[in-house]
Amino acid sequence: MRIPVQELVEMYKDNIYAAAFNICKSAADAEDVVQDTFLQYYMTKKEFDDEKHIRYWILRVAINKAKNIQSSFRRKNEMSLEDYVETLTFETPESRELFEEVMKLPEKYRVVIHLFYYEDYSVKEIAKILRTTESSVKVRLSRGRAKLKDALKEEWEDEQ
Amino acid sequence: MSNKENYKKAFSVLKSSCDFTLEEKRMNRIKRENTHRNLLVAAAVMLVVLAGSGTAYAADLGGIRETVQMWIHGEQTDVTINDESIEYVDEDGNVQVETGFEVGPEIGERPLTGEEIAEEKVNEVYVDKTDDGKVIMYFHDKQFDVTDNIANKEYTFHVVTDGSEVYVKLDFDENGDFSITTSPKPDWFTDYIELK
Repeated sequence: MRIPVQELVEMYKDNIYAAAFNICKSAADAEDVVQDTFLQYYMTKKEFDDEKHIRYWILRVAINKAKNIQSSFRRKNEMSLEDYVETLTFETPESRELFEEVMKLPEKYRVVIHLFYYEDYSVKEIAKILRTTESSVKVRLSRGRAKLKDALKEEWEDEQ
Repeated sequence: MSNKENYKKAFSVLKSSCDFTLEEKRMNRIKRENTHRNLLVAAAVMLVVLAGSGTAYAADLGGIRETVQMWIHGEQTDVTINDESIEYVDEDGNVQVETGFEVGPEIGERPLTGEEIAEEKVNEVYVDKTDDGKVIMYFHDKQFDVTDNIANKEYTFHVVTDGSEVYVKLDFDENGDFSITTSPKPDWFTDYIELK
């Protein structure tokens, strides 16, 4: 199956943006990833099993593109992460603190944390998206949680 | 609230401002052009190997489409050069489409041509942190294990391959993430590790 790209954009552009921003830490680069990801979807001839399959595919493409941008010397020079965070409107101070602490995590922990807590993917699904092992995902998830617990104290629940 | 609910609440502030209405028109144009190019590419393909660069070019009939071979992330890769983008399949099998912009006070924002993007890509330094803890630097057709250098806090390198050289500086933050800065010329006050 295929979903028209315009419809897909409305459904998932914020998800793609959030995932890309999580890696790039840059609003401008994340917007580029959004554009490029949907452009790639538009141009591919691939058929998908269902909507879940499409979502999985575009997230994986977006994460790869974000990583490519991050390691490229063509990154754009624009506002710092701190300045960008100032432009965001959080519901509570605790939300802002959680956001900032997540963005301080090493990228390999951040990505796993984001896919687990924001995109609701399982360890197995995250391993497929990131093309790594389930044990690696579990370790990164565990370490990411430990760092968040250390930084946020009671604001972050203990989890197994 | 659970961790998941708190996380979603915090990250729901991230909203893309991307407007795809105009982009779809552009995408339609790109799709039509690529279809047209595919029809025109026939058996008449000319292969030219540029001396000294190790890069192979294939020019199709009328020069409408260019396919080159470039070293990307340590692998010889077929790259298609379009008007304002380049396209290739990465090591994970994903099709990558790269665009770029030049920004300046006089020109505003100008999209880079495919040739300009390819030229930048050819000279790109790529650094990969593998799952087993190694740090590998790629430049053109060469790869260098700089794991020990990083461990010794040696972050500046002079990388030399056949006919090309670049000066590389890695900047690490407190989380272990790094950025790459390259320059064709050395900083006279910096010592560089030679990688050949």
